[in-house]
Amino acid sequence: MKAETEKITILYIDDETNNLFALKASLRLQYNIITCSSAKEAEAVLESRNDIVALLCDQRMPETTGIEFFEKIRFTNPEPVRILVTGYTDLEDVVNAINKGHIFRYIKKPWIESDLISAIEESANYYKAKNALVKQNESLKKAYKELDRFAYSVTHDLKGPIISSIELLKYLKQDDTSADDREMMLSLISASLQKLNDFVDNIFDYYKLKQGELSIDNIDFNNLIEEQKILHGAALLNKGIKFEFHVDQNMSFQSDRMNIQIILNNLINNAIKYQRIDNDKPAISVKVKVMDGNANIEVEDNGVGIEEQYQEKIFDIFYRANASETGSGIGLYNVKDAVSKLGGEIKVKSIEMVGTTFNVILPSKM
Amino acid sequence: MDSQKEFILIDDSKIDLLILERLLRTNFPQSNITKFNRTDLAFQFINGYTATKDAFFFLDINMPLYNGFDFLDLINGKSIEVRNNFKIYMITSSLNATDIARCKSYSNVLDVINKPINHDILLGLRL
Repeated sequence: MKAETEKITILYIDDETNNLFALKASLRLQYNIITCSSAKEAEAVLESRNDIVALLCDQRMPETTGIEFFEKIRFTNPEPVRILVTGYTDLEDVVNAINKGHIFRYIKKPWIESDLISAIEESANYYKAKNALVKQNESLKKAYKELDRFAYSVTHDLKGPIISSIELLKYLKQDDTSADDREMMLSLISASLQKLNDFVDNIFDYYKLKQGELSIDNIDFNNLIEEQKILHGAALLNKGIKFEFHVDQNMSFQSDRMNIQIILNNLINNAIKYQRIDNDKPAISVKVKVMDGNANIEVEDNGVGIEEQYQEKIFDIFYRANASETGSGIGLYNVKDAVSKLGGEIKVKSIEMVGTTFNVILPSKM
Repeated sequence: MDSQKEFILIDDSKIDLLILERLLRTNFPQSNITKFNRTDLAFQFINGYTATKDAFFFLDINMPLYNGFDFLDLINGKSIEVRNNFKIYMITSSLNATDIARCKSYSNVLDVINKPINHDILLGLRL
C-alpha cells in the first residue's frame, strides 16, 4: 500500500452509484478516489481542489454527457487528464472526441481492472510530463524576460555615451564655443568614452563568467596584485591614491586565475572610482592571507562609502547605489558571480563618508 | 516669446546636462536653469519645491537610486495647485513602448523625448 501522500488523486463521475462504489472498492488502495454522481457535482469539486490528476467520466449521464462535461471544463480545468468510461454503443461519439483531442483514453464498460489501472498510470505519466513542460516553459519565460531586461540596459548604457559625445562634438565645431568650454567638453567626452570602455569590459567579464568552465591553476597572490597595481597605475596616480598591499601566503593555493582577476580588478576599480573628492589622504589597502586552505582577501578604501540601506543590493545586476552616473551596475554583480563560482563568500562593511571594506573568502580547489 | 522661463534638469549624465543647458541658454537667454546630476540631491529639492509659475522639467528616465518614475510619483503626491505648474518632459536614450506608456499615464508629463535633444526638437516643444 502506498503512503497517502504518494497516491495520486482521481475523480470519477458516474450517475450509477453502483459503479462508483465498485471503482472505489477496487482501487482505493492505489489511489485517492473522489466520486461524484453528476457533472455539476464534479465541477464544484474541480473548483475547490487542484490536485486531481485524472478525470474518469461516464459517457451516458442524464443531464450532461461525459463528452459534454469534458468540453465544458477543458479550458477552466485543463490540467487533469481526461478518461471516458463508456459502453460499445457510444463508439462513434468516442472516436470523435478522441480525434478532437478532448480525451486521453477511453475505458470500455464493464471495465477490466488491469486496463483501468494502466490507463490511470499512463495518465499520471502524461500529467507529470506535461507539468514538467509547463514549469520549463515558465522558467524559459523568466530567462527570456531577464534577457530582455539585460538587452535593454545594455543598449541604454552603450548608446548613452555615444550619442552624447556625438552631440558635444557638434558644439565643439561651432565657432562661438570658448576655449574653456572646449576644454570642459573634451574632458566630458573623454570621461564618457572611458565609461563606455569600462562598460564593454564589464560585459565581456559577464560573458566570460557565464560561459567559462573553471581552469584551476596555482595562484600566486603577490603576482596577481602586482599586476592589478600596474593595471590601475595611471588612475591611482591621477587621483593621488596611495595603494598598499600585503600578502601572507606560505602555502600553495589553487583556483581559477581569471575569476580572481575579475574580483580584484572590480573591487580595486571601485575603490578608485568612489573616492571622496575632499579626501586629502586617499588610500586603498589590499590584504591577502592564505591559511587552512582558504584565501582571505580584504580590499579597503577610505572613499565615499555605501549607505546601509543599499548595501544588500549592490551585488544585484544593474543596481547602482551611487546617485550620479559613474557605475554600470555590472561590476559587483560579476564579482559576486565569480566568488560564488569559486565556492567562496563575499561581505561588505561600509560607513558613509568613511570608507568601504570588502572581504572575500575563497577555498583552495583540491 | 517670454524667455524668462523656469527650467529644472535632472539627469545622471553630466554630458547630457551640459548639452541641454547649452541649448536652453541659447534659446532662452533670460531663463532660470536649475540642474542636478545627483538624483538624491534632486529628490530632496523636488520634495520641497513649490512652483509659483510654470516650471519645465527635463527628467531622465533611467537613473540610479531614484529613477524618473520615482520623481513622477513624488510629484504626483503634491497638491493639485502646486502640481498644475509642473510641466514635465521625460528624456531617455533608449525609448521603449512600456516606458512611454507608463510616463504618459502621469498627468504632468507633456511628452517623452529621445536623447539627444537638439534645436529642432526644442522648437517643437510647448515651452
